[in-house]
Amino acid sequence: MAAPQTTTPRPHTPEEVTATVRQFISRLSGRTAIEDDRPLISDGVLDSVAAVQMVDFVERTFDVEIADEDLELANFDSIRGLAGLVNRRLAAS
Amino acid sequence: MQSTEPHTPPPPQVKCVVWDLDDTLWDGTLLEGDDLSVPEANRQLVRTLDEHGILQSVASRNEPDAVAEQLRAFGLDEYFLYPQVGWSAKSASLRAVAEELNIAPESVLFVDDSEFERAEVAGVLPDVRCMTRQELHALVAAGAVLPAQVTDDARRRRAMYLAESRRRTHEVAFDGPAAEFLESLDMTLRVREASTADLARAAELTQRTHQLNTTGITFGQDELASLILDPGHRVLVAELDDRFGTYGTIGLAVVATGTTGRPGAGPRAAAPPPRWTIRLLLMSCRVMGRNIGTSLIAAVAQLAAAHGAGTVAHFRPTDRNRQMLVTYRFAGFTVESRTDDLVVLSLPEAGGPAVPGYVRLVIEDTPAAPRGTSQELIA
Repeated sequence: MAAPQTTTPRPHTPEEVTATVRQFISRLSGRTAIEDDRPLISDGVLDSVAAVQMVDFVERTFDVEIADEDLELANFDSIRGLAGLVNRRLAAS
Repeated sequence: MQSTEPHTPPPPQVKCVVWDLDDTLWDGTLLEGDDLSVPEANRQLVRTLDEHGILQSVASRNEPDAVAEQLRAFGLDEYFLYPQVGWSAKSASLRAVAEELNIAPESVLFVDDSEFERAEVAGVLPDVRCMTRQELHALVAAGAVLPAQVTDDARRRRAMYLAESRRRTHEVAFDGPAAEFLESLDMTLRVREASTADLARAAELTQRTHQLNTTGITFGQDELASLILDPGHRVLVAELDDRFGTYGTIGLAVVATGTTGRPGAGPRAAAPPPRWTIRLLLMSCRVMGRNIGTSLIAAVAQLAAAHGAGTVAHFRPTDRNRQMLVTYRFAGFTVESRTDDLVVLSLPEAGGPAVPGYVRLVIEDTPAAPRGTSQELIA
């Protein structure tokens, strides 16, 4: 039986993406138990510099590219928003 | 090639002078109970360095309390930041000062009467320039220490370091969300038309600021001077203060207003509404994480609106300035067009970006120069 021929790494499930993003936001903010819908930047949990850190993190971690068009506040203002962006990029690649 | 002289770079600008005390800053030895005196030339030099924005500190093998008291008695204590008084090696003291002030050893000058101490520092920190006080006086007299130009920010540099030090203590002790920390700072951002007195600092900002720079355009003082006079441009500077003191001049915006000033060229009926274009917007890294970029963008948009104009912004990506694209996008700008290296963004009609509640924004809309002077206008 031949080994499955695959060049892509194990895909990330949407749940894994959310969990990884949740963990990163928690590290970035120094706070645990942030709800997935809690506004992060517009509510001042994080400052706007954090958005660039988020971009760097998800690009590195999930090997996706975040385009300039993706730099909408909605994509970075909550755990759900960021996880959603990553999942859309993963699906498109 | 016309070049005739070998290309030796000038020594880096001195940013800090670190003084030994016994028989250097003052005559006599403190711990031996000598009758100490500070030579008038030294007192004068301390003041001159300070007024020119050169920071000063102390590296002395002595008893800290006695030194503090003696410096106070001489009326000189306020001039020295992070004085290093104790029994450790002077190289360790110099390194500590450079780290506290966040400056490179090559911009530090160490003055000590002891050949042994100078050799010890030079051995460990070869980039620190070590000399006697006589050599220091001679070097200053030769014009090799003081900067050629003294900006407002240089004059208040020591105060800015002290403010930053108090601010950092507050920040480390502060336990709460980012917004509450920013609220606690009580910030005031003042945006005004640049005057000729701002040119040196403004040019320095364009040359030094890479990360928080929207297009990476650098302007020399001459170019900025002509832009200030150009009726088709606005050059704006931003100063930030908070409860700990001033950050100095930390932001710059160069805006093309599209006003040609041509006599008789009134608005035609079919002309599209005028738009101001932010050709360059930048901020010092000193204010990173304080959402001051958004406030400065809001100030420009408000000024434009007050003159009946919309707002357009240029962004030229470099490998370090993505933060500024994020700032424009989060402030509500959308991408209008894009070429290889230029993104043109614009603000939709309805309203400009909101200024965060924790920033008090003061806009002074007073053109510094007469506009539309006729000799500028060659048809």
